[in-house]
Amino acid sequence: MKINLWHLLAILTISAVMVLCGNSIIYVKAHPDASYVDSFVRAIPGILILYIFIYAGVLCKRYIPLQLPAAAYIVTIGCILSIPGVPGSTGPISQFMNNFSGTIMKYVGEVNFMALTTPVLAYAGLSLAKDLPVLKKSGWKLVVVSMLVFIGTYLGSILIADAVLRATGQI
Amino acid sequence: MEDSLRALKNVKIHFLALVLTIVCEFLGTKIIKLPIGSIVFFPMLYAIVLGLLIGLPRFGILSLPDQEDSSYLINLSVMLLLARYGTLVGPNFFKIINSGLALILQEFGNLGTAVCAIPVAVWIGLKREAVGAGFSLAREGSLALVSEVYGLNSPEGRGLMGVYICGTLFGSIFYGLMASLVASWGIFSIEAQAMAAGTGSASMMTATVGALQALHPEKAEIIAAYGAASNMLTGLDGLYMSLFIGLPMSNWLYKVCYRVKYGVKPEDEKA
Repeated sequence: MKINLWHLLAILTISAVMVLCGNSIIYVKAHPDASYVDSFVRAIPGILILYIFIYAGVLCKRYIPLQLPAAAYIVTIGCILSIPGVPGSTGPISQFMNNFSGTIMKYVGEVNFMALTTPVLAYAGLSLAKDLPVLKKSGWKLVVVSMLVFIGTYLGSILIADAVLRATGQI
Repeated sequence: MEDSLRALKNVKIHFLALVLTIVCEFLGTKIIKLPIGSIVFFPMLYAIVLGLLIGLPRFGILSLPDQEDSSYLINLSVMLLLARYGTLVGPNFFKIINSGLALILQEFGNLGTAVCAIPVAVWIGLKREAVGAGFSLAREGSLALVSEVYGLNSPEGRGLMGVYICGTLFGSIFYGLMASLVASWGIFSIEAQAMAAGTGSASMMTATVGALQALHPEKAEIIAAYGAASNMLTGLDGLYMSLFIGLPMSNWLYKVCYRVKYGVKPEDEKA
């Protein structure tokens, strides 16, 4: 899918407005003295930084001849740019990374992670009713199996992670 | 191209999503204590349920094209979330490297999927559907894999589609509730639970992380970091796990369970 970059900008901005609304509601709940407008505005620089990651990721997908989705580039770019300097190192590269990632996190940190999820799930919810008839057709047996699949995946991973963390003395 | 412009111009969907976001955020996070453990409800869960209700045909609010537009918009609005994911992992990069072993080995926990699901699937009477339904969490990678190996119109494909649709419909809600229950028991370390949050589905991971954070706000940052890191890892290795371990093991389990239930070898066996 090769998306028109202007359409992407418009759609991101619509989502961003929702995120900023949700973000300011969450912020005011935690800081009852703050105003909604100030709380809305203070997260805008962080959102703009996220835009840069997204566009960098979308362009990487377009011009790098690997079969990777844009999502993989977007996450990786955000991850690399927010890595602080190597702990304990005082070299110039480490210093620079520390300052750079610190600045990025100062602004991006204003955008509450959970505030980013609500608009996505609102769109998801609004698209779901069309899938209900298929579920009716596939029947209760597959619903039961689905739940066991969720439980099995989650508990299987917890059991192993917990055992390894205990064995290596990390908890 | 056409899709993006049509979805962009669908003011009704944007307006409804905005209203949903504001209403759900005002409702906020609620923790309900039950005898079997605590259950956490938070805005993204309300948003799914309310969105689904608004879309029900009997209300006549959303047409099929409206819902298709909305479905298209998920893929783009999720990019903001993805960009923020990266910045959850980066600041904790060295801490995550230190727990690398647990994080990598827990990927094999996805095999618990088949162990849990296949015996019951056979027991309640599913045939080859059981293999497709029970070998993985049935996200996009599994769809690609099964359409390649069996075809999506095969019994295996139908089984997979069933779980895929259930995951889309109530996966996040189920994960959010399950994670809050398990966390409130206090048996497993919160770090291990955060690592198990990464299933390859961004919304299920987020629901799990949200529930864990609500119960352990003091560890919010590391929970999000482990969740996002394990989700990235599953995105990388999930397909190989399914192909080399999940599917072969499911086929084997299917044969064993079939013999136990029916006393004969499965007739529709494939090599």
